[in-house]
Amino acid sequence: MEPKYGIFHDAETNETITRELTDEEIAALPSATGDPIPE
Amino acid sequence: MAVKTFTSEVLTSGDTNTYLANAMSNYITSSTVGTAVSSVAISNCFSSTYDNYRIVYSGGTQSTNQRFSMVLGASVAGYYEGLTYVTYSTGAQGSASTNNGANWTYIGGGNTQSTGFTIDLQNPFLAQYTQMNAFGSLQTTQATWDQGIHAVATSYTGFTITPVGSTITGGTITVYGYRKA
Repeated sequence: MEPKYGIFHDAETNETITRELTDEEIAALPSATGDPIPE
Repeated sequence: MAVKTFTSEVLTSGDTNTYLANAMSNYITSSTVGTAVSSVAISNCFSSTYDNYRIVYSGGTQSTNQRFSMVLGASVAGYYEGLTYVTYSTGAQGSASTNNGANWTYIGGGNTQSTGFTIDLQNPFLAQYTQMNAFGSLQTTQATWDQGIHAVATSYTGFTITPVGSTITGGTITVYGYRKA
């Protein structure tokens, strides 16, 4: 499986990091199943 | 104050401060999106300075024709929403809903040509339910309007946006605060 990346931006410090998502974070990503996408 | 046309080269502090005070919204922060990103979390953007917020994503592309989901803080329960959409090719209306779900999941949309959304949030920082209004387009397929509520009376300082079943590349997510009187 290809790695998935997330952006984490702190508005207070204006710092942004991009890192690989953890397994837990990947598991929490919503799937496309059931969305009203075009027929 | 009424709209005033400035003709001199020097603005008075009084006029400048009045116009700033009367502005509808203030820029809070923005985050540039990289390549093939699966989620964007923006923290510490909600505070007592504002009650209401506008979040705009533009200038990016999406790997497939899809929508976005959103959560406040780390909360993964209590999301309600109703999506109304119109299919461009037929004019037919459709709808979908989330009833006490783990996120809002019908926000905006896009594809490989462009993607984005406009979201208004009411009271995410206050310890009460948060109202959400969002609109966007599934490119040449559907116009969409999504309204909902997060039925958890907790204060949140940030949010996470996730392209559903896809990734996003490029563009900027910007957060504005509606100025209080």
